[in-house]
Amino acid sequence: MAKEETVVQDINPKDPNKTYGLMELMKGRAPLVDKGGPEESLFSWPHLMLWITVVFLGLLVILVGISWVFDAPLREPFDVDVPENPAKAPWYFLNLQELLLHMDKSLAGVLVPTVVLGALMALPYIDRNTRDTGIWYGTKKGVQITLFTTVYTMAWITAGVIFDETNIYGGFLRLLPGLQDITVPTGIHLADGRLALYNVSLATVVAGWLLPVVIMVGLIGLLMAIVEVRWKPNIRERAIALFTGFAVAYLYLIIISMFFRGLGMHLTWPWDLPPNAIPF
Amino acid sequence: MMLPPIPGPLRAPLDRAIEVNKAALDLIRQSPPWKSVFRNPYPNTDENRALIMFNSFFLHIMPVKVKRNTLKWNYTFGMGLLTFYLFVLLTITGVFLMFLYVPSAERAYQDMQRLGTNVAYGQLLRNSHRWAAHLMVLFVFLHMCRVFYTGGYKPPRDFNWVVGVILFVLTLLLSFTGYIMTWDQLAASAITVGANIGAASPMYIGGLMKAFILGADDPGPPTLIRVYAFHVILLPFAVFTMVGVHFWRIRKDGGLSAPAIGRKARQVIVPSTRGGFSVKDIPPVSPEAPLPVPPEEVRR
Repeated sequence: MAKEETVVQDINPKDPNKTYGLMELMKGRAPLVDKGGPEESLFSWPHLMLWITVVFLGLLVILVGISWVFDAPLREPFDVDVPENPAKAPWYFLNLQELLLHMDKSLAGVLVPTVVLGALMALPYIDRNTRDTGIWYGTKKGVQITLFTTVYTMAWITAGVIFDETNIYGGFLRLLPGLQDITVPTGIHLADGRLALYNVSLATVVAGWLLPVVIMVGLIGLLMAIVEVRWKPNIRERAIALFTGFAVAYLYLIIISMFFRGLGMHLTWPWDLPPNAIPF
Repeated sequence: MMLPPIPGPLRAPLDRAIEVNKAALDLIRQSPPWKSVFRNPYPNTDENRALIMFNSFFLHIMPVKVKRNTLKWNYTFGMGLLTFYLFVLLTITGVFLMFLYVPSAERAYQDMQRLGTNVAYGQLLRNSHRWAAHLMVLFVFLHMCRVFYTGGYKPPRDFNWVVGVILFVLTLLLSFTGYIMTWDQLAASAITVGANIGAASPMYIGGLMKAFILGADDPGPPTLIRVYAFHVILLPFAVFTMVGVHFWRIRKDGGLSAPAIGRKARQVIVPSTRGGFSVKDIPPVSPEAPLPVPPEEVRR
């Protein structure tokens, strides 16, 4: 900074034990004391304004470009009596639709999403350590855990989806004789204006609820156990394992349902898909 | 690039022209109408750069200064901003589409076809609305991943993360309701799957949910009109409000998340005697000693 040479003796008497000199002259339109500050801040005008404008214009160009080249789909007129085969939801709900194939629809469509959203909202109240805020993945361990969880999640989902498509699963259920005959109440509903019990066979309960819950909870537990033993993680790294599991499952189930589900939502290769099987 | 020197005979008239130009601009900038709109001079000094941010209605949501980290492309990838821009573009294209679309089961599908045949740039309009909607869902998800992996959900930004999760759900619903409005077979598949998921709610809530989604026992005209009302008024209003809260909380929670300090390990920000903050080294005590919580991270 520029140091004032003319010192008014009355107010700031010279210290005879010190030497005084002009250190440096700098060009500037404002004092530069603490310029930048501890966080190296910049003026929003022009730095931030420039970038948000550039991003907007770039997005506009890209969006108009995409819209110029690719037409939005429009299929045959709406008719629920003649459903498409396969009938797929929009891509961001295909993960839920994929889950519906593997478990009871209350579990897949309501309970799992509710638990996931609840866990997401609870996350910042569980991990409150702010020491590594603002650093991608927090630590090197965070990166390794992310990569490991990605492979782990994709491998188990692939295995699970193929297993459920085979007859082994159904055969396994048939191995337990008598399950079909036992019924258990699983809920209540309104029938003719009165509350009535839903009675479901035990086989349905085992296949739709018990096994899926045991498998999902078990796989998450196994993941956390491996991460715990291998990396000795802190709370954030545990959260990274769980969130990565969620994010990878979210996207990977979409990919499976979109590109590997053909007629009757059965597994097929992407090149064998029937026409209109991709909801775009 | 260096410009060649201006040849002698041209120099005088050119200087004169620049002078006149400057005088004319000054005249405009000193005029009452100009000054009534722009409440401070052009922001080419630090003072005016600060003034323009809090004097402008449109800019005052943004801070006068931002952390350098905020502008690093590979810190945010601009995904929250892109999500917001897509929402703005969807609102604009959506309003235009409302002029051209009647939400009745008899007309909706024909209106979609007419956009491609009878309306100038109608197909482009519909395409951009459709693709922007898909992109918004994608970017809102990627934005959530970015915030998670950079630890942006930690206090004091904990509540804003919750607001973000709500916005994620609202975005999905907004996109889903729009998807139904084309009233083609894609819409039929989507509403069937959607109603089945709603009906799967436990107890008798399932039946209520299905009735709420469809407005009838089966997907049909009542479904379209309620999906329309949700898509053009209720959900956009909810998103608009929550986005307002989301942005306001960014400011109140101290801007975008950033590493605690000038990014050297074992340093801490302490209140300075001159006011403001300064960076101080922590003497090495033991490798396990926890860092004190920097004051900027303390909830305001």
